Amino acid sequence: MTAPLLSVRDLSVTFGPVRVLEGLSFDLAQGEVLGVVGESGSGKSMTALAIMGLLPRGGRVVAGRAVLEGQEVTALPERDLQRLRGARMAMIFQEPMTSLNPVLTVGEQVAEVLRQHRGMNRRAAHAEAVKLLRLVEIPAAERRVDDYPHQLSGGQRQRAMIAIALACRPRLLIADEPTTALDATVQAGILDLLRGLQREFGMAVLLITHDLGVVADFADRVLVMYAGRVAETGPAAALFAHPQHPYTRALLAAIPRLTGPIAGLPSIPGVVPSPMDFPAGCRFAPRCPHAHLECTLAPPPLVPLPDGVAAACILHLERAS
Amino acid sequence: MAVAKRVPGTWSRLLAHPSFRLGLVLFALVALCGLLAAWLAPYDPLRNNFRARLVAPGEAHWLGTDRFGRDILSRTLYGAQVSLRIGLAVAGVTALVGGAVGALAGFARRLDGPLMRFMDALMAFPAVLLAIALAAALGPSEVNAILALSIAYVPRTARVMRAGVMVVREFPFVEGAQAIGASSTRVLLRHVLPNALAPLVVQQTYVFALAVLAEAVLSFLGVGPPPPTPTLGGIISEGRDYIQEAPWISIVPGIGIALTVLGLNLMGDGLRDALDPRLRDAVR
Repeated sequence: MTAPLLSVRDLSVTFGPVRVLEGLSFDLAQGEVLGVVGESGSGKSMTALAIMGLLPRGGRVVAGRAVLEGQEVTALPERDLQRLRGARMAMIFQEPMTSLNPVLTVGEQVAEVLRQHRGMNRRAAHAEAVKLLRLVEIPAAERRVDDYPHQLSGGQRQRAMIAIALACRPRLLIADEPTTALDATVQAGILDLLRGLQREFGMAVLLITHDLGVVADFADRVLVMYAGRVAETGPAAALFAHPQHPYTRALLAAIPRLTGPIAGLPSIPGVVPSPMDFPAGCRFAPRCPHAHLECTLAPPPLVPLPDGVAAACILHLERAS
Repeated sequence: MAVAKRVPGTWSRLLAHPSFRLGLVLFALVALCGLLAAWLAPYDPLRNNFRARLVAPGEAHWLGTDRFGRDILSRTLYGAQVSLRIGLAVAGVTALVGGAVGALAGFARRLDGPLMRFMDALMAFPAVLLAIALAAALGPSEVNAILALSIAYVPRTARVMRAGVMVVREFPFVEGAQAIGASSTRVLLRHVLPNALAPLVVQQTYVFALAVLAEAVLSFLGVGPPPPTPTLGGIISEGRDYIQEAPWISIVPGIGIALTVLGLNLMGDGLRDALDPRLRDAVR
């Protein structure tokens, strides 16, 4: 097997005294789609921002590393990161309404990446921008290219964001909740587009979402995060068929079914603890139906299980021993 | 025009704003008087005529003459030109210097403290008093008046710019620009600044008005452009000793100042309403 495109090892991120991400490890192969799932506050977005080197002020990688194509991105100086961002790795954000600069035309914003990373002149960049907008299926791209963001719909803006992100054919695309802010019908269109482009370019995608449906649809492998740690990871099919971690099971159980009698909407009792008062042991223990005393003593390690799945739950550790 | 294309309807919204319209008319009136002074003025504003001293407004001199027999209408027209020139220069200089200081302070946190404490130190003095002291120290001349007034008013502009930049800096598209590898300089100049300019434009109309007013104070106190250069404040000052016999000497340029400041402030209010997204619907 060839070396992974992106390799994250023991990554920990703190904000002052607060540790929002702890000992995160995963690999992402060329052309693979990894879905990162978890509730708000589980550290999904922080993972993405740490890899991009865009952690908000106060955030710091205190341990571990992320290596992209042999380069340790978590240790690169800002200037080198700027050369990678937009060129080798790109990111699309949740908010298409505010992620584009309102005073520049869509074309100018697509052209900006091209001119910066591919050294194109104004004319060539503009022509390429039209092609890119066509690629992301914006109708009448040659007219839309001179429109301002407010003249586009939410879905079209997200398409424009995708055009910007893909302009330099990055090897890694990080999509942070790319469809969360959109209508359901628009969501499907954007996902289809992303999937198509991912196959066409063979790029790896880190798909961050709390929508398990999106993951089941799109991802090859899944990483379930809870309160800054990995709860469970494995191939999407295996993980959805036989969830091993109580948290994954609870998440799957919380998806409303369209078949059968309508009961109440199931939910996981409680909320994700704030990073200020993460429990000492397993962080899911306070909400876990199977929790017992040992769970509160030490964090459980990731236990390898059949089918390439691994779960951080003491139940599996006990079963194995 | 770029602005009109960027935010469709800004101009039409402005022109529909009653106080902006009134302000524009008043300011345009004064500005035209100043610009066209050379053609409009019936007399040379500097020529003495001792046979026509302190003549009351009438046929020969529509708005009377001063103690040297100089035509007040002509002097006021040229005075408006000088005063507006100084006001515009001050608005321009403070926009450049204050804009740069404010943008750096708002964007680069390390510079924020030093720059803004210095601005605070300047702001601790009442602006007019500071301008008078500086102008007195520098000596009376038009350039020195511009310099003194610019120093006095630059902190206000810097504060407004800094606040605007700090707001825009947090918008998601700034993160988006960073995510495509834009450098800090590029992010500031191309993505943050253009989105933070609206409050600055509004602020500068007020600075313009304040500078015209403060320039009148400087001239009145004799630390503005030296005589015989006519400035609105200078003419008022010259009429001070004759306020009983020849009140027109001071009244006419006084009206000029009032119209300028009123016009600019009304325009500023209109601009503020038109450019403030929260108030946009109210104006429509």
